[in-house]
Amino acid sequence: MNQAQDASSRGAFVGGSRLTQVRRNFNRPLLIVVFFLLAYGLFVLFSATSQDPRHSAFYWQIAFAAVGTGLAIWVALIDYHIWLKLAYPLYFIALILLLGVLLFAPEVFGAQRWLNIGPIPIQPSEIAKVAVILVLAKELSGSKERIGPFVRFLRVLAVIILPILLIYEQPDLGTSIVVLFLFFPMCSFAAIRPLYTLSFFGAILASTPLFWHFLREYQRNRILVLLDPTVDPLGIGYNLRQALITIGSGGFLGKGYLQGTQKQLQFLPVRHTDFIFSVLAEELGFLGVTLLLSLYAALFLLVLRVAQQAEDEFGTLLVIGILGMWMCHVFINIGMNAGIMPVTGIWLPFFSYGGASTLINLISVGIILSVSLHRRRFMFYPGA
Amino acid sequence: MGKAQRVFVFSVVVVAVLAILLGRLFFLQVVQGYNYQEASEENRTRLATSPALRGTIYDREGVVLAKDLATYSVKLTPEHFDPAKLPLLAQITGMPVDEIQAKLEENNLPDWEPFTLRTGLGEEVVQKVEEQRLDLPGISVSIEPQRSYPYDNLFAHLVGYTGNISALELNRLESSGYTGADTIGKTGLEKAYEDWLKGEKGKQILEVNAIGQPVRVLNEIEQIPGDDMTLSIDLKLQQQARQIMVDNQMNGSIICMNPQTGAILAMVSTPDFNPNDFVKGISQKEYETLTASNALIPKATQDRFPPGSTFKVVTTAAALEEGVIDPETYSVFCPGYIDVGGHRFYCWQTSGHGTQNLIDAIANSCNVFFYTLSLEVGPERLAKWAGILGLDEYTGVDLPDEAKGVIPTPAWKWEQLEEPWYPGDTMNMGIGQGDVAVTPLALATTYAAIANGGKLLTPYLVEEIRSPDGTILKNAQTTVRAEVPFSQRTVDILRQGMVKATTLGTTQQVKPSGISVAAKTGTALITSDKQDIWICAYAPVENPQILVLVMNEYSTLIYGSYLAPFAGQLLNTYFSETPTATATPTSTLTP
Repeated sequence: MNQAQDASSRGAFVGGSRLTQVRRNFNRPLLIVVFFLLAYGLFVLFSATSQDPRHSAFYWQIAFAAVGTGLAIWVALIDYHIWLKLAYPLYFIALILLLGVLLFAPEVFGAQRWLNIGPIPIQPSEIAKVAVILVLAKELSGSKERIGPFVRFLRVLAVIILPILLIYEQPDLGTSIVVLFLFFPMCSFAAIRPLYTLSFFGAILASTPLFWHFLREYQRNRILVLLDPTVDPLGIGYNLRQALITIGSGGFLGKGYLQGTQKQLQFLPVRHTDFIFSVLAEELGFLGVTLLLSLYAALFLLVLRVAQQAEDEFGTLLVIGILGMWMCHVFINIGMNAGIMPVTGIWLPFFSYGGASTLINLISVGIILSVSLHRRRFMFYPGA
Repeated sequence: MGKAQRVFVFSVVVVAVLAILLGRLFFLQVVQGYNYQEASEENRTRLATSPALRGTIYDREGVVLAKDLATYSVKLTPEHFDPAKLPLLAQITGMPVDEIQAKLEENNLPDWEPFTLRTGLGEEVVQKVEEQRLDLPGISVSIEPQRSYPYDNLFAHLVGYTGNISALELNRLESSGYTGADTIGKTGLEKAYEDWLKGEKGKQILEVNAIGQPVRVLNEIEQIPGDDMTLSIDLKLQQQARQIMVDNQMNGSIICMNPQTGAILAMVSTPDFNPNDFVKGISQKEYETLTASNALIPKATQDRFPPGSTFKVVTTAAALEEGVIDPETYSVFCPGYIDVGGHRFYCWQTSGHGTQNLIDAIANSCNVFFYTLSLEVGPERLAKWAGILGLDEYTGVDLPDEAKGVIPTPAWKWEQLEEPWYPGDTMNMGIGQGDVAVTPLALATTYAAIANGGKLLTPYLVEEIRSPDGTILKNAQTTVRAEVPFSQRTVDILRQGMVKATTLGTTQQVKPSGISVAAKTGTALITSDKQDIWICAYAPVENPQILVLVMNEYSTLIYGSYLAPFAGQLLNTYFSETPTATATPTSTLTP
């Protein structure tokens, strides 16, 4: 694989100007799928916010999507190797912010996740997710360094442990699991012996009973209730039952746009964010759900193609890390809506309302587009 | 494996993950869709909560000081309410239309959730609403507990009051199960013991009709009432203490405490307010009036005042324990003034006290003596002993938002004012003026430590907490914050000085017949004709059972010794009290 850390070998594009390169290599299909996802998300968000006559969340989300798309295109045009330099600074900023959250942030719904810097509330765990991807990609692709494979493995473990612990302390179990599960796909694409990765995975599975003791009571209840809905019939059990009725009653064709009947029930406090999927499932039915999952399939396969075509290992790992993050989010979010995963505060990429998540996701799109753009393959010159 | 193979494996994983989700959704929506559609059609259930009865608060004899009464509340569900019915609703509830509109706008619950429009209504409102039921969609009446304080102002600061949870409190407490419809302890014991008093809310799954009105209860968990509390408070002393302050139009505080255990027998601050007004809801104007007169601040624990000559016990302890003087030989001649650094500082008795030894100086409260003594002790050692005697720290009393005293030092003054420390500052400090300021309760614990021979106690109000079934959950225990490291000789000298004080002048009136009393008075000038005055007394001297502190801020009385008769009345009551005596409430509260 090509290890293009040498600036002189990059940048020198054969066969035309930079404009030509942009025109030829820009991954339009990927951007178009993202647009469809954003538009679909806004369509559903409008219905999910129908309790608010001004639909303020809907209009904010349009603004986030517009700003995010601009950022995505800007990031796409920058050579992605800039993230080699920015990885550790961003990582340490993220760690400091996470510490800041634990020390200074106000509690909302019993957890501290936001930090107010000036008038802007930021969510350091979102920044941390991307920072971990950047650092892991840098560490795992640095094959020129003379360190043993086991030492390298320990180093990448060290990189993920601190943010996982800090995020878990907020407490935000969902996000810390996402950070943990970024690790496996990225390792499997790097020169890490599968033995190490697999034994680490095994160790985590084996220590699950141990983790049980570290869970807070409400977290345990959310897991128990999946196994036995009668655990708390007037609390989470009621919520779970209502969530299943909401999705199930959508049937094949759905109840119709803006026609959901379950929303007057009070069990979904965050319908426009974490539970937006249930609004989609109720109003647009299995057909609407299939459309969404198809869009995700298209997005993920396009992203995988970028991973395959990436010029160097760093690029591949960046793309795989982002893909891993999105897949975790899709699985956990839809899984909790459909009653097969415990409830955690995890957004649905490009779909849930939220400034931090929308911007981070679109910047991630920009990174993937940049990896897709800054390569020499598929250039039309002899011998390529 | 090459990169292409890895990508292929990963594609399989992507498809598999999405297929699992799609499979699950197919099962829910298509296979079981019909069942869920039926369930959704019939889904007329709603989860409702009912408030728990808050625990009752009793005095030491079992007299009720705070209790939940059943009252009727009118609730409004915005989703079903017709704004055209506002005038009718106003007529029934007795609320002006614009007030109802304001409440509608303030409401932070979802539209489908009933919110409380007005509480504390009598039974007649049920009938009125029933008669107009068809004309009033979205209006319902429910029985709700309402906090009542049968003694009105008497325990305003001590027991405190409850109220609707604020947005700020809700933000902090949502994870502990509070909702926007809850009542919460706002001040005093109601706030400090919220976790014990609140109980657990009941939950019901209600079947509702098409316009959201409950039809029947499908499943229910009963509410669990909060825990009951017995206080160390002696109702009779408390009533007398407040009467003294009110009858003589004094602002300030009275504290009666057991100096051996720290149990508070009475504690009042004036001016005060009626906590029942807060439960019913108080208008902005009334609130502003109360704030302007400082009526909302519990002076005993949350405000600080210059202690005046009551601080001389600190100066004495510092001088003796630091070995600055020999009490057998040390004396000062008081001509009525002393000249230091070109300034003339006067004694309160401008004709002079003559030659004073330490015990006489305490008894006479001679300023010239203590000016001289404090210059020899110095500000650092004065501050050190003020700290040892607990005047610059929280007492740890079981009340919220306690304040702590300020004890100046040269370093403190430079930091605060960027001014150097003068000998005059030391002299002022030695007689408890200048920047020295303490909370009345902290000063009471200092005197209790002298009375009990050196134990700095944590004062407390709650004697016992019981669960609704009568199980005792918590018993008060005497907590010694610190042992004051002073010698028996120091304690004896302080006591002799304070006993001798009760043989002189007005201070004599502190003594109930046949019982020995030790007392110290204090006067701190605030303006040319207003002063904060104090008396702190305990009795019997040999085996102290009660300590009385009376503080009158911004007083027109000239000396602390004018408070002696009041402290004497309280001591009299305490020693003549028959244990069975209970008084009747000053007013009976009906919903």
